[in-house]
Amino acid sequence: MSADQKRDYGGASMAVLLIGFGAFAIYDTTGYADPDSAVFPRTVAMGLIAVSSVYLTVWLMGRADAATVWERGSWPRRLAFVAVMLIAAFAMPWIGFVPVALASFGLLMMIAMFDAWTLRRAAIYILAGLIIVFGFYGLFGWLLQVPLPRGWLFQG
Amino acid sequence: MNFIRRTMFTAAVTLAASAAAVAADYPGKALDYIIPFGPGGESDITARLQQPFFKEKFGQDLVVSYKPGGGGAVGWAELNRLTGDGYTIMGVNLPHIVLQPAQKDVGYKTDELAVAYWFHYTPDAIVVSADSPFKTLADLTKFAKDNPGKLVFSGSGKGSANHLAQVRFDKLAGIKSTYVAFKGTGASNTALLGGQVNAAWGYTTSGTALGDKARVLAVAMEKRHPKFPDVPTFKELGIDLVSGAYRGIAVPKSTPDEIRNKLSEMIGKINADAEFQKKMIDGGFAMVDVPADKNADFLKAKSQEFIEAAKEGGILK
Amino acid sequence: MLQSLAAALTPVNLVLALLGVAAGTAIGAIPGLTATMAVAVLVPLTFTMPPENALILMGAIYTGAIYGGAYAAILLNTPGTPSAIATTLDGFPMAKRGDGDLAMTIACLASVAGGIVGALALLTLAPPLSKVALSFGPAEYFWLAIFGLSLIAALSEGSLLKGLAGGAFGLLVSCVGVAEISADVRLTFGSHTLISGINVVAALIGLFCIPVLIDLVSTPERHLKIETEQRGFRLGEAFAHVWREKLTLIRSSMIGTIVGILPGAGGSVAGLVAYSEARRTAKPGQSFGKGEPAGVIASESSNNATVGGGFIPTLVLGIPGTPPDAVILGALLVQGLRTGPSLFTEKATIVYTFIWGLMFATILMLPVGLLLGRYAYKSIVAMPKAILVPAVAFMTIIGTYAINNNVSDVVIMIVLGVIGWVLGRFGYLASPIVLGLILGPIAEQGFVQAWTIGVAREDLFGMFFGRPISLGIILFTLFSLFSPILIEKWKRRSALNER
Repeated sequence: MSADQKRDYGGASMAVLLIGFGAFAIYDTTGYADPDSAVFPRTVAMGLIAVSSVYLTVWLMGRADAATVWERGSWPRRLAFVAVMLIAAFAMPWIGFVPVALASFGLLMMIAMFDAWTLRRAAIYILAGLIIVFGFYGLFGWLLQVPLPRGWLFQG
Repeated sequence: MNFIRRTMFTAAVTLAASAAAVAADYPGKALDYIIPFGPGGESDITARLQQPFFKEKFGQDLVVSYKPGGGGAVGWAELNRLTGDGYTIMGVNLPHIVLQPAQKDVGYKTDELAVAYWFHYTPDAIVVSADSPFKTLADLTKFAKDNPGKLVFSGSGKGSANHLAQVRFDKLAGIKSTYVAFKGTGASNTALLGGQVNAAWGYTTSGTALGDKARVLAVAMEKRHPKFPDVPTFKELGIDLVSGAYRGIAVPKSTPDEIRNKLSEMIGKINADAEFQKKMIDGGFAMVDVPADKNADFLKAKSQEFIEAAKEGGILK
Repeated sequence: MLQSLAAALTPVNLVLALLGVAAGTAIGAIPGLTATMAVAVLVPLTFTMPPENALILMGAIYTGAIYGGAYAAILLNTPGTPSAIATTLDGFPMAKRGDGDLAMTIACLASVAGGIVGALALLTLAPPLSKVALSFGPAEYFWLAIFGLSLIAALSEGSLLKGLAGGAFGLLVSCVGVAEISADVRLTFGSHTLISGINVVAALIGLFCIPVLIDLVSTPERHLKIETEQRGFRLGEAFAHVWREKLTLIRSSMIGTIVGILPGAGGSVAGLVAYSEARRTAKPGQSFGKGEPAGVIASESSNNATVGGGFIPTLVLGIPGTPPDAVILGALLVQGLRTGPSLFTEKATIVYTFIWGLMFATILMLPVGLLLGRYAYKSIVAMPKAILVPAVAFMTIIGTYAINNNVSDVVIMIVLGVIGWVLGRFGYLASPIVLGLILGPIAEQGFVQAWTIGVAREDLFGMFFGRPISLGIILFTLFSLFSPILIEKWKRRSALNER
């Protein structure tokens, strides 16, 4: 092993988390009314715990994989992306589909923008955004008859 | 104070009057008919059968959409949160809406669902493959008595109409059989035809779907099914078993009674249509007519039946 | 049969086939919109049509949707329909290195070929092949799922332990919600939202697409490498690849047909099995998982072959082979047409007209697919990042919502996406997790059913190990797991001997 290879702390901590999930699953199976529903999850959970424990042991002996190299890249943008997605999903039943879609589209556009904003670019991008949002709205809401959320806040 | 009371009174009167007026105009636009299951199931098929008749009789479209999940629970938990103007209606199923809330907290209670009409049911039936040694129900019960536990039935799901029928049949016939749950009627029928099991607790609809590859031994109906005139009912054979999966239509609780009754009447009219009845019966379904005002009694009787069988079958504690 | 051939060639039927394939491809390309949904939307339209027209339209949209799933798989690393899972494994790496156009054309050729094989089986061998559907009992499905899970060994690059852990994680996630075969509520953490379980399509979108988007917003680098010169369809090159892999193509199409016949499996299983077979028999120099065209060929030909295969039990036995078949079956019932054993004799004209129609629809997929694919590729490549990211993100949200018309699925999708991204960073890849998710229910139901029947018949051992097909699958699983190791050893030994 070369010295510059860092130990896989991330992989090991994931293994610990998976063991925790397996333990929770085994605890969960004790509450089932029908024994048929417990067999499979219990077996799999034990397998998960076993495999992850083996990985931990190997890791403790210092023979696990090398750590994955952390890519560079912007953390604020990554986090903002996830936040916008989650907020959009939670807000949709209240505010309604179209406003949320337009707002989140605009925000994500800004998060993913790496070039300088010029007036021309802004105009084209906003137009494209409108076309995409309303195009999909028409496709789903009208053609495919998907009942898109209308927003409880603005109803009666 | 006086002013407030007067306003409230006026409001109540106007509301009642407008509800009556709304009921008179109802339906003025397309209805959104939500099926709390995925496309392709029997609930979907029966809704599709109603669709053209609704359009023909009342001039409005019945737009079917799906909200599957949790064996229907996701849809029913949401039903009372939807707009109660009569333009949003949802399919309801028995035994599901009785057993789910009895088993666990699923986000709705049985008596919170405002059912407008129970319009048909698919009767339970014992089906064997065409080459089975069981020619009659007596052959089957004899085998079960000689070999306790070795008679293996396939069926659709646990806590389903099929499963409850098996539990009740075992008790009534004094036998012990094994029930294997499959995911849906299609899988259960496949296991039957493939010889994985001795017989299937299916529905009359499985009998029509499988045609001459299968034989129906008995149906759980009051009278024989017109599509199977040669197949006896359990009652004829001395077993008091009338059961199946019932389907109806419910509205959000906030829907005015006038509209709910009007809808009930409308579904009744479709049910009375001879051509509709023929299509349903050809498909293996059986008709029932339980309008909105009889729902409470009907549901009470069925609940008792289902809960008792579920306890027997070990699904309910 | 010839008379039906002529009937299928009427202008109405050809137009329906063309429209169906085009619409199906577009719907399948959008993650979240599955073939089942595409067919379900059409159902009210078909009420007014004669049965053969209705069938051709539904068959065409179905086969188009299965093919369209490859678009998102190749260009966005997200299977547009679950059938295209295996297409992502090599399709996306191809696109990343700038060969997206080639991958799209290869996918089209393979899909058409696979579709034709499936339709031919339906045309000529339907009644005898329908017996395959019946010969698979619970024990066979259990072992089939175990065979599928053995693919983890091939899919987990780097660490086998991490791959196994990911697979087990996926299997556990598949248990969430109301159990299919008992009525217990499992692993919901007390949440109402999770009672309906984790939807597979939502999970696929989350696990595959969200990580791509998260990485996409973090750097200014382009999504796919842009082509430098105009290369057109690269049809000749694609043909050459497919021709070189003709064995893979035929084998995968046959796998797809057979898996399609099995009512408990489906396009996703077919694609994965065919992919692993292609991988197991890889020639030296092929690098699966890193953009190997043979991977796309295996996956795409097999999933389109399931269309014809799935119609076999549907029409012969009245048992739907795949979920879209269930919808088609229902539509036929409303038409008053009873599928089942007698259909092939009593309503032979309708059936054979439909099968020919399906065949023509599949052939029409070639020009339609090439054009649409080219267009999709060009727009994804040319789109600036600031539009691509919100557009794809928006598509994942609306597509996931549309699966069950439920916002909870969207939240689950995003959360799983983040989990998948974190796990992926630390070497736990998405594909073993997805494998567990898809095969979990098949394995569990097969096991519990086989166990119950085995106990009732007092022959538990015979139930699991005494049935010929089961034994065959077990032996094959062992063979595919251990043959690479044995071959490796043998090679090393002979190399030593030579020295």
